[in-house]
Amino acid sequence: MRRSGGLMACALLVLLATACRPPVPPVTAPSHRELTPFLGVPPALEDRLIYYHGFEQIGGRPEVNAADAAQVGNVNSVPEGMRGRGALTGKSGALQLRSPELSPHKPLTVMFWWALAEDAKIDSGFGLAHLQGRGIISHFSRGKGDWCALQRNAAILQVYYFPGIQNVNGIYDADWAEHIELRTGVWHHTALVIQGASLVEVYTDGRLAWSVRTDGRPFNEEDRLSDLTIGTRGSPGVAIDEVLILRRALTAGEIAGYVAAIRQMRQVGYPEH
Amino acid sequence: MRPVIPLTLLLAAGAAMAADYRVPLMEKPPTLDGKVEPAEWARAVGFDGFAFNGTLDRRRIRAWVGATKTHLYFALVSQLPDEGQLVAAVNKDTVKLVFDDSVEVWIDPTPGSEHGQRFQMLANAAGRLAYKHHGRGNVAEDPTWQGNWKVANGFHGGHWHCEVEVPIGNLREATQGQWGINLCRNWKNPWAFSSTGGGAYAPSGRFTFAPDALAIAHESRADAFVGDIHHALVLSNPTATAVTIKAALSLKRDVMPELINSEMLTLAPGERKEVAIKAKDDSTRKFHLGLSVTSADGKVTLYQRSVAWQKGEPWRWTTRKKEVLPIDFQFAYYPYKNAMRVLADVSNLPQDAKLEKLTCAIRPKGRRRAVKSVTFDAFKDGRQELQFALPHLDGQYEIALTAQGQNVPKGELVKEFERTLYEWEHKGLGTSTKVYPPFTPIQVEGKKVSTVLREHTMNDFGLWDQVVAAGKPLLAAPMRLVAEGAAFEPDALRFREALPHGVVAETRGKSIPWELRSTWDYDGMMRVDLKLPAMYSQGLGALRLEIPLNDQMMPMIHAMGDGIRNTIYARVPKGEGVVWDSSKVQVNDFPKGFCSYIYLGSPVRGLSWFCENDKGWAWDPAKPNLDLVRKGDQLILRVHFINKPTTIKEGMTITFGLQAAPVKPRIGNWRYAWHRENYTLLGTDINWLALGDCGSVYPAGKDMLFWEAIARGNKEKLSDDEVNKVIEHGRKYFEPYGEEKVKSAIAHVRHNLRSRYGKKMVFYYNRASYQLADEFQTFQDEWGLSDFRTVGKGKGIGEIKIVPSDSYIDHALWWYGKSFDIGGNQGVYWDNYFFVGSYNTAMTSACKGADGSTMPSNGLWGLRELVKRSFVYMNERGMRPITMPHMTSTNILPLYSFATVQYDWEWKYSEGDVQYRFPREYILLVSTGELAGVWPVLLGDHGKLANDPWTQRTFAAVCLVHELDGWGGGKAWSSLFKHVHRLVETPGIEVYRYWDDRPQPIVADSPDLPTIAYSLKGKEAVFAVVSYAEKDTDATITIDPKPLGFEGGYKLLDAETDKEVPVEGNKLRLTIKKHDVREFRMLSR
Repeated sequence: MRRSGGLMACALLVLLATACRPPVPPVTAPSHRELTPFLGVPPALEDRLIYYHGFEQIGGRPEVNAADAAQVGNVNSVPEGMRGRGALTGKSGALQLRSPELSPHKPLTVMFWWALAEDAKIDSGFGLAHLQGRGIISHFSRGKGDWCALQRNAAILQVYYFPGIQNVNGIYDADWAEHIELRTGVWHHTALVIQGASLVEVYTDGRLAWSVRTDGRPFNEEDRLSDLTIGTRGSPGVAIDEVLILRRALTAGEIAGYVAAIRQMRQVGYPEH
Repeated sequence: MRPVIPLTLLLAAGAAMAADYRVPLMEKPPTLDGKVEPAEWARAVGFDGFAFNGTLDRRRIRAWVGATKTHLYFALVSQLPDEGQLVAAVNKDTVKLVFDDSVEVWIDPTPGSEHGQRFQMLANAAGRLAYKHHGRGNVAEDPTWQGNWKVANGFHGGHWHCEVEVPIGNLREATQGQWGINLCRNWKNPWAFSSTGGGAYAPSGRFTFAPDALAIAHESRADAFVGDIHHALVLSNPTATAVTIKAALSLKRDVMPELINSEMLTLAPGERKEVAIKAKDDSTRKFHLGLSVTSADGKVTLYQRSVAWQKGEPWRWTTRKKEVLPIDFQFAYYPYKNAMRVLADVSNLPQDAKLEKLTCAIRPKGRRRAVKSVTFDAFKDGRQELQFALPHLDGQYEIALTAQGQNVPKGELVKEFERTLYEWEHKGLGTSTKVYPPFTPIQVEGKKVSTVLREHTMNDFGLWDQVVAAGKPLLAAPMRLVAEGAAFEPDALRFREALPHGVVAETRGKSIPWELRSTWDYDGMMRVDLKLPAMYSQGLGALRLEIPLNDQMMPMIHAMGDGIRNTIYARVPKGEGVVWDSSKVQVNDFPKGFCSYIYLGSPVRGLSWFCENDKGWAWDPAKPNLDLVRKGDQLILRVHFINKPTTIKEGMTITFGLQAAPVKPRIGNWRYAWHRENYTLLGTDINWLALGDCGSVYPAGKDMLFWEAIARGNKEKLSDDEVNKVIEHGRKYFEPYGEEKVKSAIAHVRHNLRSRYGKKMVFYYNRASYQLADEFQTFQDEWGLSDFRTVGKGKGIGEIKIVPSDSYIDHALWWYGKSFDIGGNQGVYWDNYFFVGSYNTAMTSACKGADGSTMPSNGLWGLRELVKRSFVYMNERGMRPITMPHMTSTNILPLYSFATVQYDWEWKYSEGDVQYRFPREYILLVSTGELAGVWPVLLGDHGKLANDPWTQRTFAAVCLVHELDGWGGGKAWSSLFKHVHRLVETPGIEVYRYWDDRPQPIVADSPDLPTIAYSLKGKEAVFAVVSYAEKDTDATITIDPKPLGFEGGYKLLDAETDKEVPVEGNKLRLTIKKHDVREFRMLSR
C-alpha cells in the first residue's frame, strides 16, 4: 500500500507540475540585440559579427568593420552581385583584409558568395579564401595539371606550413564540376569555419563539404594568421558578394539557414538593401 | 552574371502572370480583431496554400482578399507549429522582420505600368510592422513612406490569424482598374518564402474589385501531400442576378491520368455551389493543380491559379530544435586500456556567458544514465583536457557535454562512439618467448651479452664498452653519458634478468639517483630508458651520449628524420672535428633537422642508434640533436639530449635504442630465393579480394569464399565457370563503390584466381586500416596517428595509416592466421614500413611541448612489435617466417630485424640506366638487405622503359653485382642469371662481393668496374664485371685463381655466348660499354 501510495503521489506531482506549467507562447521571445540595418545580415548572425561587406557603399567601404580590418588595395565593384552590387576579383586583385581579429585561435567564420566570371575549363583554377600568417589555411580550386596529378577541377582545402601542425592537403573533391555548377554567373556560397582552434570546416552552398581536425597543436596567436584574401588573383575571375566574418563558429544549421534565406531572397526578388 | 532562374520558376511565374481574380465588394468591412471569421470574409476571394517556385509549401495557410470602395482587406490564417514556436525575434519595426515568421502584403496600384510604385508591409506574429516603398520607372523610392495600415493578430485553434486593413482613399477607389496584390508568408524552421503569386514577391496577380463579381475560394480539404485529394472551388453569388460561369479543376499527375472536373454552372442570387475533385492516390509523386473560373463564354477570367506539390509522408511541423551547446570537444577512446580522453573548448560560448562547469557524461546511446561522469572546471584559455578510466564497455555509447552557468546556452553536445568486442582480442598470438632461428638465445657471461653474430660488453653506464659484430670490434672506446654542470658517475651495473629471449640490466647514478635500464631483445636490440630525477636543481648545462667508434670501421652513414625517399646514404665526410650533424636530415613531421635514426658502419657491419622522438629531452631545436666528431682514429657519435641550461623540475625519461649489424643471417638459401622459389606477392589487397583500398586484413565482407577461391586457384586450374561464380558472388560488395570498382574487382578475381597457380603466395598488408572496417570504429584511437578521433562512421575504403598497438597486432595476426589457414598465404608483406609522424600522445611517445605543439613519434616501437610478433607467430605455427616490409629508401634495423625479406626500389622508374638511379652507397646500405639479414627483393621497372632491352640489361647488371633479387623483361635476365641461379642452388657456393672486407679474387683496374664472383671452389666460378663508368672502358681484370681453386689452370668462357676468351697471366683484357655487364665462367682445363 505504501508503495502504491508513493506511486500515486508521484503521479499527482507530475500532474500538478504539468498543470502549473505555463502554456507555451506561440511565438518566441524577442531578442534585445541591437540590429544593423543591413538586410544581408540576418539578426541571428549579428552576434559577434566583425565584418560585413555587401559592396553597396560608395567608396567600397564595408558596412561593418568591427575587426578594424585594413583593406589592401581595391576590388572592382560590379552591378550584379548575389544581392545588389558585388565585386569582381581576378587579375586586378582580390579582397585582401588584414587584422589580428582574423586569427583562428578563437572561433571564426568567414563566408561569402561567389560566382565565376567565365565557365571553368578542365584546367581552370581559382582562389576562394586564403588566410595567411606563419602558415596558410586556404580553400581553392585547381584544374587538371601536374599539381597533384589532378585530372579535373578539384576542390581543395589546405592547412599548410604551420610549425608543429601536420600539413593537410585536402583534395576533398577531385571532380568538383561534377558536383557543383562551375559556370559563369552561377552563385555559390562558401563558409570557412574554424573552432576549437583545430577543426576547420568548409561548407559549400550551405552543406558541409569537408572538415579536418588538425594534428599537432591548436592554432595560436603566434601563428599571426591575420591576412585574409577572398576571391582570386588570376583568371578566371571570381565575383564575390556578401562577405561576412564572425568571431564565432556558426553551426551547420545556421549556415544552411542563411544560404537558403539569401538564395530565396534572390529568387523572389527581395528588396536588396 | 544574370541570375539564373530555374525553369520551374519561369513556368510558375508564367502561370502566376496570368492569374486574374475578380472580387466582389464587401458589404461590410470585417472586424479587425485578429480572428478571421468565415462570415466576415464571405465576399472575398480565397486561397488555400502558398507556393514558392510554383510549388506549395507543406505548411498550411489560407488567405483572403477583399475590399470596400475605400479599403483593401487581407486575411492570412497560417498554421502554428505542431511542436515549437513561431520565430519572433526581431524587436524593431524593420524590414529585418523577414527573418522572423512573418507575413507580407504587397500592393501595386498600377500593375504592368512602366512607371509606378509598390507598397510592402511586413508583420511578425508579435505585432512588429515594417513598411517599404518601391518606385518603378520614373517613380522614385520614398524611404519615408509609412503605411500605418491596421494589422490585428491572434492565435486561434492552432493558427496565427492576421487581418490587415489598407486605406486606399488617397490612391483611388478600389473598383477602379486592376490591383496587383501578393500575400506572402515567410516561414522559418525551415526557411521558406511562399505567396499567393507563387513566385517573385512583386505582385503578379491582378485583382479587379467589382460589385457584380462572384466570391470564389479555393479550399483544400484533405492532406493532398499524402495523396488524399479533395480540392474544391467554392462559388457564391452575392449579386441580385443569376450568373452563369464555367468552373474547372484539373489535376495532372506524373503516373496517373489527369483528373478533370469542369462544369458550367448557373448560380442564382445568393446561391453557393462547389466544384470539386476527390481522389485517393498513393502512386503519384508529382501533382499539378489548375483552378479556373471564367465567364460562360470563357472570355473573362474570374479566378485562375495553378500550384504544384510533391507527394510526401505524413508530417508534423516541428520547430522545436534540439539545442546544441555551442562548444567544441574532441575525444579519444582506448578500449584495451578502458580509458578515455576528452578535450573541451568553450571559447565559442556567447560573450555574456559565465561558465561555472561543464559536465561530461558517458552513457549508453539513447539512455540517460551515465556509466561515467567527469566535470571540467579548470579551463585555461578556454580549453581543458581530462583523462579518465571507464568501466568495461560493450555496445553503442555517447559522450554528452552540458554546461552550467549564467547565460550559458542550454542543450547538449553529443558525440557517439562504440565498443564492439571481437573474437581476436587478447589471444596472445606471436607472444611466445621461444627464440627462433636464425636468432640464437642470448648468452650473458659477466658483462658480455652475446646475440647472433654479435658480442656486446656492457659497462656501468648500462651502455657498451665494446661490440664485436661479424667478428670485428666497432668501438674505439666505451660509450658514455657526459653531463655538464653536474656529476654523472654510474654505480655498478646489475643484471636483473638474463633469459634466452631477453635481458634486463640496471644501473644508477653514484651521487645523484638517476636510473638507467637496458632491456635486450634477442635480435641484439638494446632499449635504454634513462630516468632523470627532479634533483638537478642547479641545472644541467648539457647531457649527451657519446659513442666513440673506430673510424676505420665507419666509412658510411645512413640517417633520417622521418619519411621516405629523403634519407641520407653517403660516405662519412673526411676531416677532423665535427664532420657531420643532423641538420642534414630531411623531415616531414619532425622539427627540422631532428635525426631519429642513424647507422654508421660499412655495408657488412656497423652500429645504429635510434629513438622514437625527443620525449624527455631538453633539446634546443635550433641546434643539431646529434653530430659526428672525428678525433684521430675515433669517430664519435654524440647525441645531445640536453644542449641548453636546464632545470629538471619533474622527473623525465629519455628512451633510445642501440643495435649493431649484421642483425642476423638471412634465412634459407637466400640468394635470389624469391625468384627461384617462385614466390609471388598478391598486392595490393584487392588482389586477395579485399574491399579496403590498402588497409585490409580480411577479404570483402569477411567472406571466406574469396580466400577459399584464391587457395584453390593456387593449387588447381579453375574453370571459367568457377571463376565467374566467384565474380557473381562478390559483386554485391563492390557495387556500392561504382562501376569502376566493380570492373576492377572482376579483373582482379580473374587475374588472381589464375595467375597464382603453383606459386608461393604472399599477401599484401599495410600499416593501415580504413573507415569501413568495423573494428576501426572501436579501435581507431589506439591505432591512428591522430591525438583525438578524426574519423567518424562511414563507408570510406581508403587507407588510414596507423602505428601498430597491442590491439592492432592482435587483430592483424588473427586475420593473418586466417589467410594462412584458408587463403593459402605463406607470408606477410607490409606496405609503407617507414617512419611516419604519429601525433597520438596516448599510444606513442608523441608529446606536448610547452607551447602546446606536439612532437610526433615515428612509431618505432609499434612498427617493430608488429614485425616481431608476426615472425614469432609464423614460427609458432611451424611456418617459414616470410615477413616482408616495403621499406623504400630506409634501412631501419630495429624495424626490420625480425623481417626476413624486404622490398625495395618503388622509386625512380625508368629514370635512365639503373646505375644512375641508385648510388652504390644506397644499394650497399639499404638495398642489399645484408645489415638486417633479409632477402633483398626488388620491384621491377614500372615505367615507360620497363621493356626496353638496354634498360633491362642495366637493371639486371646492377642486380647481379649486388646480389639483388630483381627480375624483369628481356633476355638479359635469363642470359645473365642462368648460371648464377644454378650455382647458388649448389651446396658449397661462396660469393665474393666487391664490398667484402677481404681480398677479392676478381678485381678490375677501375673503381667504376665493381665485380662479383660466385665460386664452387675448383669446379666452377661465374664472375661479372659491371660498368658504372661514364664511358666505354678498356679494362684489365686481374684474376686470383687460388681462392677459386683453379691454381692448376682454367679456361674462361663468356657466360652469355659460351665462347672462350683469352686470359694472359691471369689478366683478362676487355672493353666494356658504359653501364654494360660482362659475365664469365671459369672452368678447369
